[in-house]
Amino acid sequence: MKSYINITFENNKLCLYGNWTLSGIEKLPKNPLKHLVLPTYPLKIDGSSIKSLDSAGVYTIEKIKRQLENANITIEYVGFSQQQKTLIEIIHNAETQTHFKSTLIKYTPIEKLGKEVVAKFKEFMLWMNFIGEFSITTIKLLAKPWLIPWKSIIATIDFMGIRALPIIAVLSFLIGVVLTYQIGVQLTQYGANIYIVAFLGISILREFGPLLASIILAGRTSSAYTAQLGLMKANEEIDALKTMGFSPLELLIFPRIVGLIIAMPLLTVWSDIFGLLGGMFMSKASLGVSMETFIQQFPQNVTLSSFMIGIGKAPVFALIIAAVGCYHGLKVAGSATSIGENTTKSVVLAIFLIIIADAIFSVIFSYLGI
Amino acid sequence: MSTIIEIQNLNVTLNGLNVLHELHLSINEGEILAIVGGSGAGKTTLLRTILLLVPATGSIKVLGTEILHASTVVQQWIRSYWGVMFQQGALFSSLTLLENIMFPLRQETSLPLADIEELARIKLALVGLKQDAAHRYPAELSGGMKKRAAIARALALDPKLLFLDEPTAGLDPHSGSEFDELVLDLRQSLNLTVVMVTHDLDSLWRISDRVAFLGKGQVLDCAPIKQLMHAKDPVIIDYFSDNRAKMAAEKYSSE
Repeated sequence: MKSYINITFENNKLCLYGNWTLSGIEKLPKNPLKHLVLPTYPLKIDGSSIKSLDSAGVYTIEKIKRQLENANITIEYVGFSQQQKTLIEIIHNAETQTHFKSTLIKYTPIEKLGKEVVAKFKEFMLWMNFIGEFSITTIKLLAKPWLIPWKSIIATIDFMGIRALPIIAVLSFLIGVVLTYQIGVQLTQYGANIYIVAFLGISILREFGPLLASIILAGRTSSAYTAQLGLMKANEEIDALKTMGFSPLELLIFPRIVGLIIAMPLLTVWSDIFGLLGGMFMSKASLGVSMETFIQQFPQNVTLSSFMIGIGKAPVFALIIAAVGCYHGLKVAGSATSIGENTTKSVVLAIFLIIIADAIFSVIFSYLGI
Repeated sequence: MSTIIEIQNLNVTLNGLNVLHELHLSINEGEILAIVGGSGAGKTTLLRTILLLVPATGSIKVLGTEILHASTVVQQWIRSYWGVMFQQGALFSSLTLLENIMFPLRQETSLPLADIEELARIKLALVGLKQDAAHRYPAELSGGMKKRAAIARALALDPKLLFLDEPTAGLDPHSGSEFDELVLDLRQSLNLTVVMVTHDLDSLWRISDRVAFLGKGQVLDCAPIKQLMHAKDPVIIDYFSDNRAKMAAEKYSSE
């Protein structure tokens, strides 16, 4: 539908033509009175030729009227139908209210910094609170093991552990291949091809296995936890649980964290196996170290402690991933953006904390000499 | 009075279930039509079908134009003629109240931002919301305020048709009757046609011009509420025969 709009000055009246509607006023020039030669005595605005009028049209007419009144010209409306008059009156009344605008408060950089510091401190306290509550719940459940929600724990192991097996296998295998290829180039220069076994065995079992598995899980599980719990929070499901006298920490958080702590060392073993398989495959292909030699050399170069250290880190990483994910889920405050924001934060923070924890482990182990 | 929506032979099948079956309904310009019926009668489905959210066969004419199997251009054009208020408000949770109302204006028009904001503020005032609520987020609003804000957003583009899905559900009786008044006022001042799905007996008696009673996937009867009370259909008699319905009838028919 074509909308037509015009404003003219004839017979000492401002005549309005066409569609004074939302789509019509778009076609009106920025200052519609510019090309009109207007007198300075009282004027009439004639609405008898208006085809259709809506609130956007009334707003524009009122704007023109105000513009003229500011130039000390008295304005009178003529030719509007009764219904149009009511609409003008209603919009006019509404407009008087819009003058009491609420304005957004603007802060100076110092104030912003202060606010940020306070917010971060509050967040730290909340985080401590969460850890405290979780510890108390854990102690309580360990004292009364029949209350432990085994079903949910097993569901977590299935969903976050078993279903992550394929992706962890593929990525670990590829990392094994890449590592062997990069190091192999250096080793062949010295004819030290056989040392690839020691290198792979130690680096994958101690570092790459657990780290890779936990970084994949940080992306996979931590985000899922935040989104799940966040939506439950936004839906008031968590409040519903509380009012029924159930503890969300017991029913929702505990199984998620414990499930992951159980699954993570197993996933680390899985990641170790595929990383080494990838390395073995590549050693044969590019370094001429046969699989038999690889397996034969392996126990001579790699001690059990390397394996145990890798497995030992896994539960700590799992605790970080699950706790960060759940904590951010509970922090969601009822909006779609809030869920997105917290999901991003939980993944980034989980990976960040995993790498920090790994660095701390390295320092401790080198100090202890293992 | 001219017809603004004409529905003929409408069939809707959802998950293998024939929800609406050969449904006919015509809605007049300027009236407030209420759609009622027992739960599962297909009220919301009918509303969603008219709004082109559910695939269907048959014919729906809005303002004389067939929309059901129309091109996307026509469907887009017709969408600018209606505003919809969803049951939960469906306000965009990441935008403030004012931004919610400004959103359709910014998308649809090329007006300067200052005008758009002023128009949005007018809509805010029209539905009886205070201007200091403008910068609050939907999560910070009460249920009644959310409903008013949702109506303000539905009115942003000055539609001819307003669809309301259970507008008074979840409101206290006082807010509910205020909301009824608001719908009457808006209909009067903006010359709207209002189609609403409702369970609220007070709304039915107070503001509806006609009531379309849905049952078995069809419109069993479409008449002013007073006539509907004397309908012969057993399903309608059953619906209006409980105590609350009787009390509402007594209260309003004596007025």
